[in-house]
Amino acid sequence: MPRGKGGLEVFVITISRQTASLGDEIAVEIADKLGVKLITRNYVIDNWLPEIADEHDLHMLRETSKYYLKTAQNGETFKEYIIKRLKKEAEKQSLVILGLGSQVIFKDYAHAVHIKVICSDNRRVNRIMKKYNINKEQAVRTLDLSDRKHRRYVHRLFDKDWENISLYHMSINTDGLEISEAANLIIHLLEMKKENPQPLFKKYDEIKEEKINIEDIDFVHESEKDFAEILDMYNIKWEYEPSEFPLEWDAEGNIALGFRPDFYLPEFDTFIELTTMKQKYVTEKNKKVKLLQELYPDVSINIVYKKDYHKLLKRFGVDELREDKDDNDE
Amino acid sequence: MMNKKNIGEVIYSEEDIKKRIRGIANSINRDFKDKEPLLVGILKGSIYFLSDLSRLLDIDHNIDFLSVGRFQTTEGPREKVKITKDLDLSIRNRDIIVVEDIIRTGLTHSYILKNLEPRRPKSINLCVFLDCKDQRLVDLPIKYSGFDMDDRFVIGYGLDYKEKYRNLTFVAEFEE
Repeated sequence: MPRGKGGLEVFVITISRQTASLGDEIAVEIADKLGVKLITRNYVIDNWLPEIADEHDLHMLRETSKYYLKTAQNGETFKEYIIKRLKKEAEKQSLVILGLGSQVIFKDYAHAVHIKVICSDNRRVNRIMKKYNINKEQAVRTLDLSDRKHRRYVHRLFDKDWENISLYHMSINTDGLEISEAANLIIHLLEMKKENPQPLFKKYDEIKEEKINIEDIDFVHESEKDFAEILDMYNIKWEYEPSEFPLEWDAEGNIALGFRPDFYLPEFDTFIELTTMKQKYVTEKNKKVKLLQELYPDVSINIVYKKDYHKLLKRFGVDELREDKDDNDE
Repeated sequence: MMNKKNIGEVIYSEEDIKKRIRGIANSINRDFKDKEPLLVGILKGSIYFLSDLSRLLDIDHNIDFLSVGRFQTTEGPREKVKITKDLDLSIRNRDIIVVEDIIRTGLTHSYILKNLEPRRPKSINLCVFLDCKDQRLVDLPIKYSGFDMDDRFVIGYGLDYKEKYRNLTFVAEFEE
């Protein structure tokens, strides 16, 4: 996950919705539940656009999507300005964005989840009738106009069909779903995507396997592979044997003894050394670790001893213990 | 009747526990005076600790629960960890105290913190009943700790063996 201000991980949830589909309410619920900022068209018009728009501009921006393609006082189009501000905001903090073509703006963003909220016409019409106290015919017309506006905005500004479901990770039909249920579904999806972030859209030549595949790494011991799998289980980033620390030098200054800890956990700036072999080797390794701590007091290293390691494997349900294999190592 | 054959040596008695939790509650009362922290209990082990601790707090506070479990991915044979019961309350701008029965390697808790931090709490600290420092693999912001624990398998006061013995009022070594 990218990190925003204060080193916190940031993400974006975009919500595109049919009018009266409860998309607005779901966006509010998610933002509240996750404690993140909600950005809506009104927010943008009230808070961002006055910096580059006069009263007439603001009026037109409320009325017509065509106006977003006009050049503002600062030389950018309103559309470009909104995209720039949204992306900048998303670098600083997590966001829930309602509409604004955000599903297209963040389509290449690995830490974004794109949701479309829909609902049957009957229910939407009923909601509109109740909300505005109008008759069915008027409600149908209101919905039609509103949906058309949504569609036109995305088409005009981004040349995309708003209805195209491949623009979204998930499409939610709120018929028979409570707001909180829909919000929870989206939050669950977000949790899953946090563990496996990847953009919804990639250029054809960019589509390749990016994730480190444990099977591709030449682990010295099976126990190290098991440990890597436990780290993966917890979504903890790791590097295998990335650094070698010189510990002793000969008379000419050549490195006579070095030590390469098994794992480095970048999020914790900590090295992990597994000692799953026979006791005689452990003594030798302990000596190296002690030397490392003396020579590099700022380096954090944790040692996992054989007894603890096997308890760890057992607890994490790694089915096969590697005791016998590793006893002969090193 | 409870089968007591697996209950070994009592490590921390009911009295020891009461006394220690009173000490932790005093610290929290002092540290969060005029604040209203949210105590997040990690299910299921923390329920007794959280209940007793909460009742000893003089300050306004809320409680909520979080549960972490494993699920099978479609990508490979190994499981992944995920939140199986999320918080009901928003933690934005709140002082959060994550309450846990036992912390060993810290891997689960680093996962929980990684999950909670993006929700922008004002502060986040851990309060653990039993702290197995020697088994720790990653650093965690443990602010309140009940007792240090070695690598023995223990039961009672929320800690279970196959979902049993959580309701013991003391902590005992598990005997096979």
